[in-house]
Amino acid sequence: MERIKPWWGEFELAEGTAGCWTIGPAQLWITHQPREWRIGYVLGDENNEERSEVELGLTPEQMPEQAKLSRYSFQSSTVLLSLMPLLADRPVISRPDVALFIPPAQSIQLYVSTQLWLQVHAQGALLQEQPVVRPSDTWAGPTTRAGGLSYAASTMARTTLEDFPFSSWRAVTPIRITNTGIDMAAVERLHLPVPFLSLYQAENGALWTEAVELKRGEDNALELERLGNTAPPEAGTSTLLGGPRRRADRGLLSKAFGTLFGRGGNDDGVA
Amino acid sequence: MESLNGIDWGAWLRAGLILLIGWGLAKGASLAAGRAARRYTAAQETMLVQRVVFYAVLALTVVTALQQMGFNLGVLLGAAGILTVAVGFASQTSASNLISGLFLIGERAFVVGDMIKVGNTIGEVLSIDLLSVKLRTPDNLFVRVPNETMIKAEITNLTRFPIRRLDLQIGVNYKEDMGKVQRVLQEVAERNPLCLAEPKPLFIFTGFGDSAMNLQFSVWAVRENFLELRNTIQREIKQAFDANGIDIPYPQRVLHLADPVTLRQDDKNAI
Repeated sequence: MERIKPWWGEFELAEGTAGCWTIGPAQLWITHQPREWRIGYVLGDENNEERSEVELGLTPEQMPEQAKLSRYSFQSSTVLLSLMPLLADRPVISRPDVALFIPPAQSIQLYVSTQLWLQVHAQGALLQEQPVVRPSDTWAGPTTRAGGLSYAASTMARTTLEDFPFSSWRAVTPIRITNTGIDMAAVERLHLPVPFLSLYQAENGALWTEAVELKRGEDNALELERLGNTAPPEAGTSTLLGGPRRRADRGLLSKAFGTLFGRGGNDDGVA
Repeated sequence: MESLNGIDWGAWLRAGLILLIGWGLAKGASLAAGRAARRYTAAQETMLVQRVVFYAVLALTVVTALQQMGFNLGVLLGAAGILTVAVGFASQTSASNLISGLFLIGERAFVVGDMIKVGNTIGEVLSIDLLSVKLRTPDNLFVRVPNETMIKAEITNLTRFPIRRLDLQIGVNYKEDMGKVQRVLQEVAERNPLCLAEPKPLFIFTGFGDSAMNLQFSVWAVRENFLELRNTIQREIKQAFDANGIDIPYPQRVLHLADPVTLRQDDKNAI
């Protein structure tokens, strides 16, 4: 795969100049006015999935008119600002690219890519947090009366990393599912509670989360076998970009991942 | 204290003191009961508990005060009984509202803060009192609905469940390919982030109408986003239909005339 150019990190934006961060189909414009930061967001061409560019030293007038604008005022201002990627704030549900069944005593590997959020920090404050591209909402619950809101993953879960759609605004989670039951396990949808996961950057710029290992027991329930505490081996040498949004003890985590096959759970992904 | 002019001023003073302390006690007890009940009950039930405690303590205080003043309670209660019958006849409606109010609170069909529809009125429930339910309509009008009406009427609670379905009735021209129409509608639903991926949008071919093939397209949204989805998705459907050349026809009539009509073209200069 090609190297992904990071759009995150620390930047210097002098007063009176603007910067443009192109992240896939989205463009984030930040202008530094006297004692004020202006952040504009434009969702552009959907075909520009792979782009990742940072342009600094632009003029504020270059910001497109249709940009959705927010202003942040300070008593005094510094030139430093930082952009950070982070995982979604709700669980993500994705589907395998083809109907997937796991025979008894088999263990399969799946790769799920989930969309990222971004945070803009300046002068020691969090200015803005938003999804790079707003994913579709979806409902995770046994009925329409009870359950929780999740996001629908825009890409399918894959069984191999070959031709995997790595991009600068998606993170990949390796999931291993072992079927220790006596019958076939059908994987219709994967309910991944990403707020409990950390984000890592591999050397080639790709973004990863910890690997998740699950076991499907005889009572058809999923159990969390192991949740990695470092980047997965597939990522190679990598650095931690950000910890999980939510921390939980093992019991709660097991519950959150226990709904991996889909139905059930509330906003935290906890049933 | 000595009796002066035949009136036992000491007893009156004691009764006054009892009333004063009793009033304070009733207030305090009702507040405490409210605080304790709040943990386990909805807002309107807490309110009811507070009132019951307040009036019960106050009634006890009044009885004690009357006893101090030397009234014969047996006679008073007898008189109160006759009075109750008279008042009961006079305030039949109020009594009916009161009883209905207790049933409404017990039934918990809606709670304070819910959006409900009663008859033709839609509004947010401000309070559920013993005689009436107070609503605030979306155009900011205050509506008082008597409890008796509420008990008899059909009430729709719009905010009971977390997600809602939006049913769109659409008519398309007879020349259109229904498969293509369905595909275009599905794409619109997939692109709109507020439209839930699951439960899946529903496509129903409802029949052959006078001027169009009628269909129902039902999409789901979280109830907070319901109005926004209603606005955005209809606009997007119109745009997608225009882009794909799908025609929403006007009402049409085909006329068959009994006698053939000959058309004559007038002279160009004729007016």
